[in-house]
Amino acid sequence: MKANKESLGQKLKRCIKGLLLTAVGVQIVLGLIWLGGSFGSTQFFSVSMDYVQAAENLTFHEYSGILYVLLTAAALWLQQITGISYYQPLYIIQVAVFLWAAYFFVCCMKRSGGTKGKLTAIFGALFLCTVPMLMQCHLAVRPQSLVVSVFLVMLGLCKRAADNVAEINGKLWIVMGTLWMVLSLLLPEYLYLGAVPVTGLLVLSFLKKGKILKSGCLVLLVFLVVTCMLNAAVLKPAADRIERKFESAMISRLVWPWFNQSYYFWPEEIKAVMSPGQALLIDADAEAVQRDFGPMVEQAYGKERALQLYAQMAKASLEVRTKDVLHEIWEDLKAYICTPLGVYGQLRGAEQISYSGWNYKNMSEQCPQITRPYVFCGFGLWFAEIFCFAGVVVRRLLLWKKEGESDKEKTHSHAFFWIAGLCVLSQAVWYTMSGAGMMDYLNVPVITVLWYALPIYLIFTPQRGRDID
Amino acid sequence: MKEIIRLVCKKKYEILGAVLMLLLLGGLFWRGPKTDYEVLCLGDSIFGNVQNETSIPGLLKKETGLSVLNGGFGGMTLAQRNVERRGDIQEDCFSLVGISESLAAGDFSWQKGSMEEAVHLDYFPQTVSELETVSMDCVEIIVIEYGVNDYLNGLPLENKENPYDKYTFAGALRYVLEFLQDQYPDKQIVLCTPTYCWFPEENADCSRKNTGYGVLEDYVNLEKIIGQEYNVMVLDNYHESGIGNGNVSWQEYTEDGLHLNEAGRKLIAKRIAECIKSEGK
Repeated sequence: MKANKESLGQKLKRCIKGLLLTAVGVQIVLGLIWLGGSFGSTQFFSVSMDYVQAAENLTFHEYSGILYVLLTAAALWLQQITGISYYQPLYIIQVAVFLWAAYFFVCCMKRSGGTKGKLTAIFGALFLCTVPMLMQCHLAVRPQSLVVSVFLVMLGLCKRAADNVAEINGKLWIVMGTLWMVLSLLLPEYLYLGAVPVTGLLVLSFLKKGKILKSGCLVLLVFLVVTCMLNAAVLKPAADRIERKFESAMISRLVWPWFNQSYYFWPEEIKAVMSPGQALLIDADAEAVQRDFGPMVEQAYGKERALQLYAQMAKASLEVRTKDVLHEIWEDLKAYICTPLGVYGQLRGAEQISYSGWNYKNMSEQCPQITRPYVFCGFGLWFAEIFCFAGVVVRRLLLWKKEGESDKEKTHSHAFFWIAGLCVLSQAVWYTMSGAGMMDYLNVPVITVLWYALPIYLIFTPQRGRDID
Repeated sequence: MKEIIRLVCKKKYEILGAVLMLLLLGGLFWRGPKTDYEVLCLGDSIFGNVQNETSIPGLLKKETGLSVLNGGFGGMTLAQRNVERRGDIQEDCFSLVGISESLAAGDFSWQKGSMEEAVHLDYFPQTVSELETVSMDCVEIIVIEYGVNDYLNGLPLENKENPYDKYTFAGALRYVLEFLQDQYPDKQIVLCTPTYCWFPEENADCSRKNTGYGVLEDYVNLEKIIGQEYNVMVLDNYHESGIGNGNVSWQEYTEDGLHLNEAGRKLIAKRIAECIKSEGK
């Protein structure tokens, strides 16, 4: 008896599988080579140096958070005792934690057991770990690697809960509360950003299983209060930087880089401490707002009056330069919402101010020959993913249209994708509005990991009742 | 063998996908055909700010008959400046240190990614594109002209504790010369010192104005010493070009006291050409 002939869709699926697995394999190999070559040195970010300084003096401020300073302090102590460079234990912890978190996340997404399931999860974890923009985080003295690891676990739990309502129980709330607290202690802004998956889970719980909602709210409230109390008790304003408030974020976002051009519109008190020449210098460097302008004004007028002046300047800038401001915000927002596409364009010379060139330089410092193939292989893989994903989506839509309503079964829990989408949007908006017009992909590893993980998941996950075609 | 053939037939679609991906990756890395130049000029605005045939590289081409690439970036220094390693200060990518490293790696992503942030002039993107596609196999001579911006920016002359400190003029120069000689042992390097310059609005000149670590002549003399250390040809445009000698006014060879006018550019181009010809290239 002859075997059934393969359909065109099945042949395409096999082709896509070969295409993507090859790209992932190449990325993993290049990533491991880059890891080996860069393990013995540190990437010189100024924020890394800030963490080392904070760790040496055990000072915790509103930009640094608590946990990562403690971790760096422990690494410095280990260096004193053993002579091992402080960044190497940090790298090991960051890579190991991410691998575990990614393994957990893939297991939650795939839910297939057995040896094959485990191997898929390991392969998936290696794939996500070696995404170049994420690998750079793992080998940097900054908290973003641990942040994305914790966030991945939270998202994995959200997926499990979305797929199976029985997973929503007291234990889940305690775990989510703990993870949220850990995130907030790593980076203070994750008190708000971490609330997105938590809130998503609460809404899911409300829609699917009303009574568990009360206990969930209670547990999360406890963690929230404890976190806020800890942060309030331990974190101090940064001595050498602008106070971290809404008004100072608006100064960076709405006024830079037009300090000099809009000088005429500034309050007299500002003009008294900042000459046009100084304004020009501030315009030249985005971080000068935080490090030079803010401290200068706060020293002259005190923090409270300084905040009022920032608000006046931000309002004036928005009124006078509405089109420019909105254009810059839009450009940054686009790049943050889709980091692989945004960063690829920036490294190819797109007209956008960003940290991408500098980050790339740091990445290539120890492995100049391997960095370019590695980074652009990562982009190539992503483009291939998106292309294949688009093809799969089109085919599914055509099949759905052809076969009608009865086959419109929800294979994936849409709730999870809503939560993931809101996480992407909230982080993109946060970092767009709090930055001084210089997009930095290292701030949003969560967005990057989702852009790599979700399309490939959707390509290979079959619809119920039919194999993917 | 039969088993292998059977496996290949069984997995033919996966293999097709793999081949397509490898082709796509290959396409991503292909930068287009390489361009052939015999002389590569790396420098600051003295080379870079004029981009037509009356630029120094353009005149050098006329004098020597060789193909010359103008790789000058106005306002840029030989040494690196970003001591605090801040991501919002990215001019170092256009320093001689940054350009040399990118040239050797064949990778100008740092420059492209930093273009909008760094203070740059209109021709920078085009120059970066040209450097990216230059075939270093064809280049025979590298002409380097930096120094005046290191002086104007008051960059340290040297670090006695670290002779290769890239954040000092001498350290960066040693690093670059050693790096280039290591990467391109068969290329000739010609080191051009900055020319004498004036500051008409301040009624001063480079022999009297100390920008923090010395006057321009200090940078020039250090450059000559290091050039000799590395056995490279040094063209002393400061002392020997005639610009700045005696009663020569700043208007004779410069537009603004610093940037050379056409007469000044012709003079320097001729000197470089004579140097190249004397080396038999």
